[in-house]
Amino acid sequence: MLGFHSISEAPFSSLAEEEASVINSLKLPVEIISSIEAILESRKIPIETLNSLVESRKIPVELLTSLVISRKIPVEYLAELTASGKIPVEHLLSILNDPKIPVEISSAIAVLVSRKIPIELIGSLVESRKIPVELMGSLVESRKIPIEFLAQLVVSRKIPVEYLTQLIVTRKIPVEYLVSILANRNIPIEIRADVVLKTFNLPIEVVGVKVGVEGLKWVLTSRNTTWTISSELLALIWELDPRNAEWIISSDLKSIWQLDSRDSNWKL
Amino acid sequence: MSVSGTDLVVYMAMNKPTNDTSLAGGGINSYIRATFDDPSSTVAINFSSSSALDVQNVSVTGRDSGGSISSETITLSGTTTVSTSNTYERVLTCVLSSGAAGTVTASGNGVNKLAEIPITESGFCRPFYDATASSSDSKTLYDKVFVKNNNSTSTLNNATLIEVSSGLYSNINFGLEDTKQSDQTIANRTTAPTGIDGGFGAGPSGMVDSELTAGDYQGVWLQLSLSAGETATNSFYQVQVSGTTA
Repeated sequence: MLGFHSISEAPFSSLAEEEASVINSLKLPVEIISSIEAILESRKIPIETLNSLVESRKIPVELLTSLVISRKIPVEYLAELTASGKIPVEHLLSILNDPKIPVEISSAIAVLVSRKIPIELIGSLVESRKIPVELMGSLVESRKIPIEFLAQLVVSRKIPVEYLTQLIVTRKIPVEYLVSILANRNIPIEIRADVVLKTFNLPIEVVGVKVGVEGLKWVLTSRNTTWTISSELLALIWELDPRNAEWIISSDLKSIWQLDSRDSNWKL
Repeated sequence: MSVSGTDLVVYMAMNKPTNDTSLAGGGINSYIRATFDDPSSTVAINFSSSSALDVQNVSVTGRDSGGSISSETITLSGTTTVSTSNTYERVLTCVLSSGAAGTVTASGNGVNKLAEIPITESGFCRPFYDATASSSDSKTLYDKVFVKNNNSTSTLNNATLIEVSSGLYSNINFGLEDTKQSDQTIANRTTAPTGIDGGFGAGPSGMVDSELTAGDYQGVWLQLSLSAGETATNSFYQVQVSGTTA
């Protein structure tokens, strides 16, 4: 049985590869894992070697978690591991959701773009705010996530419905596809009643200025007395010829008006 | 329950001047609406109610085919239809002597429905009653209406008033009062009101606090601009109320 001390005392660059091959050969008992952790922490094992170790399942994923948490493995590498299916997605979920791990958005995108992660995981990430919902819009826009996928997220309520509205308004979701989303009964009903719009007709009239026959009147004045000649009188009794310089008032009119014969100047 | 379109209503203010010298504006008159249709031809006006209890008087004022204003008062007869004696080319006001027990329907005889007067309400009225243009001078008139959310529990969020480009939109601007439920009056309808949030305009305007809570209402002043010798017209002013509801 190989002793831990003999390995750590050897030149490390060569020992690292040797260590990996030894582990892979299944000759090491589980107890040796503690020494592997020490080796990894010393950063003497290249990341590619770690990859092979994980792939061969010689390093339990729990150990990987502690490594990530202690920042010994860059989170970007997790994306690669997940994409290649070397880390179970369930475990990746717990890793990314661990509040001790700051997940950069770029890393999250890389994971999403790989399309190897089930939607439940992405939903959980959105829900846990590891991925800002705003990012979902840009992902949809860049077509890195199929629209069907987004619908599933909405239906499973992993994306807030308010954000769905925003996506629709910005036309990042085609209207045609919205039908299928709305048809799904998992969508809360308030989405459909989100906007209230009512039109009111207020009847309004404008009365125009009245200009007509009534506005033009014949008025006679004499000694401060005024007579307005109605249109009926004008039509029936008088025959005014504008070419005449002298107009004669008929006897019928004389019976109506008391004209002062002394006046010689009547105004029309 | 979410706010729906039927919860949103435009009501008149308490003062409804019939000339350019009387008091205008004031608080909301939640019994008189500012929306209805004119009959499609000059006809008598029919009234009927969904309730036999509606036997009160209804006063109708309108214009006949010659443009003259005439009024009359008739008595409702519950669910039986009653008709005015006069015929009307357009209606100016229609007011019940007491709140409706049922829904009272006003229709042009043989033509279209003018309005429904809901239970407890009293009628409808035309803003800018008998607004007359001058032959020599331009003229600006103001009248006040209110937008109310009649929903008993829910709030209309992002409440916005929008002018629609139809009817008299080029003659009319609107302005929202800068406080809710204001009872501001003006000496007469030629006097400009104060406290108009952002001044008069035609663009979309958010209501105070961007919301209409349950039962809340927002005062809206309408500004009618008439040029000298403005042509007579019977038209409308169209606005939209939009918002979101939970």
